[in-house]
Amino acid sequence: MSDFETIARPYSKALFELASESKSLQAWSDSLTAAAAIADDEAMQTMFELSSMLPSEHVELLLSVYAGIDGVQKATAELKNFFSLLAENGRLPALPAIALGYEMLKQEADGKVDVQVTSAQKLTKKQKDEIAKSMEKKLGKEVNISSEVDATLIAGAIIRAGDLVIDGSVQARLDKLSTALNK
Amino acid sequence: MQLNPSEISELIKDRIKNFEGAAEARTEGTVVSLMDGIARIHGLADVMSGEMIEFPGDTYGMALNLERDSVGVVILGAYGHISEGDTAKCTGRILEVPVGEQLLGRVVNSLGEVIDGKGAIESTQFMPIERIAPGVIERQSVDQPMQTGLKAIDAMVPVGRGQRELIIGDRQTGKSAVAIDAIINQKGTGIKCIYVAIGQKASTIANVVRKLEEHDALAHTIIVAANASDSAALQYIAPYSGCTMGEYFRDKGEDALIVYDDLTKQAWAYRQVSLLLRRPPGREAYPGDVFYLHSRLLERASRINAVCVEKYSNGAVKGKTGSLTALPIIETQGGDVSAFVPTNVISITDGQIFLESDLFNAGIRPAINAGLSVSRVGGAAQTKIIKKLGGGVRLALAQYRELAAFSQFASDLDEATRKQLERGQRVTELMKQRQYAPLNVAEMGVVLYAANEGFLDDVDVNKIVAFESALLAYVKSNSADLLDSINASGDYNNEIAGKIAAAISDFKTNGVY
Repeated sequence: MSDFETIARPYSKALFELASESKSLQAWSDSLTAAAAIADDEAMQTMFELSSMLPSEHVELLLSVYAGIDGVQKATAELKNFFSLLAENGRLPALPAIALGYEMLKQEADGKVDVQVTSAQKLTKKQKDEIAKSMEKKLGKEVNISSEVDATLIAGAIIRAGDLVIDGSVQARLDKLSTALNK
Repeated sequence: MQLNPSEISELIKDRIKNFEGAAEARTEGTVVSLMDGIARIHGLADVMSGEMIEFPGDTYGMALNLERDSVGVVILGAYGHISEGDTAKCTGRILEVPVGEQLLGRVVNSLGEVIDGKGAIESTQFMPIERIAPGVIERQSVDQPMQTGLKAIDAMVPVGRGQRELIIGDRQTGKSAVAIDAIINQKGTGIKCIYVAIGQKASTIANVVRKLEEHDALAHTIIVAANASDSAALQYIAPYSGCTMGEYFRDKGEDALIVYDDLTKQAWAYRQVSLLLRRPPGREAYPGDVFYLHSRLLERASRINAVCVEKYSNGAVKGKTGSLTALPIIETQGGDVSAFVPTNVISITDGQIFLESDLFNAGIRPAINAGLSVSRVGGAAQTKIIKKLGGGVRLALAQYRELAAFSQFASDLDEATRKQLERGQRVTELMKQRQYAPLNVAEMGVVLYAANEGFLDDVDVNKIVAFESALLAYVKSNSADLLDSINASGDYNNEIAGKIAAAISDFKTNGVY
């Protein structure tokens, strides 16, 4: 996981800079998400590892699948160049990591951050708004809230924003109490 | 089912009441790989170097390598229950150990946790294990003696309070014995001792504890033990933990003595950790910062002035200086002092006590090589009487060594040479001392006086040891006032010299040996 991340970083950065210069951040985002989904496929990954295929054949294969996806714009010359470059360097398997890195850079530039809330009970609209508001205050960025329910937390919620975790669940408090008592 | 002593309702109530369970914001990461006590963690965006990292199961680690996509963490203790994918949390704290008087008489591990089974310590104060050494302004020169109770050391290589004196020698030359004797001699002086055992057998440590207990010296001693079976990370941090415990006493205007037994093993442990963290190896496969490893540790042993003590104690202690004296131990291989770590530590310390296996096997114990052993600052800290009388010993031994080598070729020697040889033999014999039998200043003064003034010249060489113990017993019973007054003041003048001379002549006429 982290191997690809290191490899992906310069590619993500280059793409992001290219996209912001040409003011096509969203278009690139869509294309990359689609390409990443293709590259993530198991069959595709095995194909990438086949040494009997030429890099150009890899690119052709990728582009043909890409063309078959509905709702994405046609592959631009730049996207084709990008795929060829990756194929030449043997980095096609890193495509999902590159897309992820690109999304992170884009979010950072937008001043947005993804916040995940895991709660014991389903959150009401009001609760979500309140969490979003206080997180915006804490992080100084616009937040994008997604929520899920996990009954094992007993009560309370865990809020995650990147590496930052605010654990306000009863489960975590019980764990802490048990270590404090066992000392 | 049996109840633990800690399960009394009152205690449980107290703990639940004081339990802080508030939600806290912490940075988390994921364990990517785990091997040989080193975890690589992905995430932990705002981790600090040296920060404590919390793993599941109340296990902690220390972040040492901050890399682009991962953090290298050494796990302090067992790591069998941690697996790939576990979460690791930042704590925002640098590694700390408990400090204070309640640690005296106890055996603790590198993290300050009690391991002697005598019950928990109620610690109220914690200090970080890595602290910056006092600066130039805060220091004061070394001018008080730290008596080791060993004639050979106090007379020839004196140690002052706040000094760093290296004890170096091969295995089985009595390095630890010298240090243990020094600890035993601090009984009743108010000097607190810390004995840091690194990479030793648990049975050896148990032995040391028992010996200190036997000689009533455990009550003023803290033992920090990182056994050979403990992880390399714990062995690496043990000296820093011990140093912090000693600095607590120094900073409140008291004197403390710390023994690192031994720093060679700590360097090995650090080498292991560094290589596992993939830091580039240098000479003898040690990492590049192995000099700094020891220099920053030994620099913390120091004497600090009264102004500084007042500042550290928030004005509670006034007009007192504090000191931390360090006796690091280095084990050489086959007497090779030019290896990497020995040369480093020799250059860092303020002198060294050089122990040799040849001398040890010849029965000269402590096996101190008087020619190679030096003390660069201790001379200023000697008591007057030892300084006056000890100088002659050093000279006699130096001349003896030179002549002994030279006279092996000569068949007949002139009177002066023969006399010097005889004196040298007797002084060498006199410098022998049993283990666990430290002498106080007055006893040492009497013995050195006897050697200096020629009272030993008509005593057979093989009778010197017997003569010395009989003399001391005699003086103790017949001139106790004299010994007490010397011990109290440490002064030396014609009057005292006369009294000592009288006491010795008295013994020679009336005593038996």
